Amino acid sequence: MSLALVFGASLANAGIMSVRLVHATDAEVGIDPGLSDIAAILSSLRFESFSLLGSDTVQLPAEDARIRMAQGYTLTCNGTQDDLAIEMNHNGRALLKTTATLRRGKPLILGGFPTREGKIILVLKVE
Amino acid sequence: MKNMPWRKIEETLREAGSDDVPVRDSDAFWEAFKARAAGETRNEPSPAPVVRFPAWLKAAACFAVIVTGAALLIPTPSNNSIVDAELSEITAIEVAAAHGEITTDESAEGTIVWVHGLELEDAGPNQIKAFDVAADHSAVTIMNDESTNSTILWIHGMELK
Repeated sequence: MSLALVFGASLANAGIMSVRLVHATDAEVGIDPGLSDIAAILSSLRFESFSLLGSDTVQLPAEDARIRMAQGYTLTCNGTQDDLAIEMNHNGRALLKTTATLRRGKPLILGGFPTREGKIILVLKVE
Repeated sequence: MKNMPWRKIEETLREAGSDDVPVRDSDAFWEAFKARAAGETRNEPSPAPVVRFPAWLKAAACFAVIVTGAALLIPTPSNNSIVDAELSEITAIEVAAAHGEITTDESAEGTIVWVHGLELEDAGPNQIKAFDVAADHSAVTIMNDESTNSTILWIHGMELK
């Protein structure tokens, strides 16, 4: 019985988290087709254009999973879906450290990282 | 022969008898004939007596026949009924609640449909337990948007040197 509970708990914390790096600007109008599932969220932000710079996945639970992304950004993940430590780095410099509980299918948007034309947005979503 | 005086000859013989022909008295003859016809004095060996089965033995035999017939008609359950049956087949699956992967395993022993990550109740929004912004910034906004089921952590005024 206890083994089944442990197995069920491990299943509840297992999943694949998609990671997408988005560049938001006012230069062009439109949303990248790869962001169609979160178009409503992005539309609530005060930008005209959202382009997908890169995407990857992380298997949860993660153990020091590191993803190198465009424009010098690096994402490091540790922990389970219920207690996930996320660290955002830019050119080796830590910008943001946060710990979050992610619900399946509910995106977490980490934004506000500046570029010359706009902002960088990180979209995390457990599938 | 036809014109011979048979009655007279008979009376003569009856009265006088005959040494040549062993003639019996007619009454004695008919009595003996009737007796043989009735079977009372036949010298033939009597047939073997008919064997009569007792009533209880007939009833037992009928009961045995009925029981045997019923046993042959009633189907006997097979130990291999599961193996002999056709495999269950999943033709469609619809899960109304939020869930993850659905796996099916069809084998001779049975069919298993497993719905992973089934969430019967809304677990609520994402939760930011802690955060630390290392770079310069002016403010941080955390917003749970129910309409889009999303959480936004927005860093205002960040400057990358």
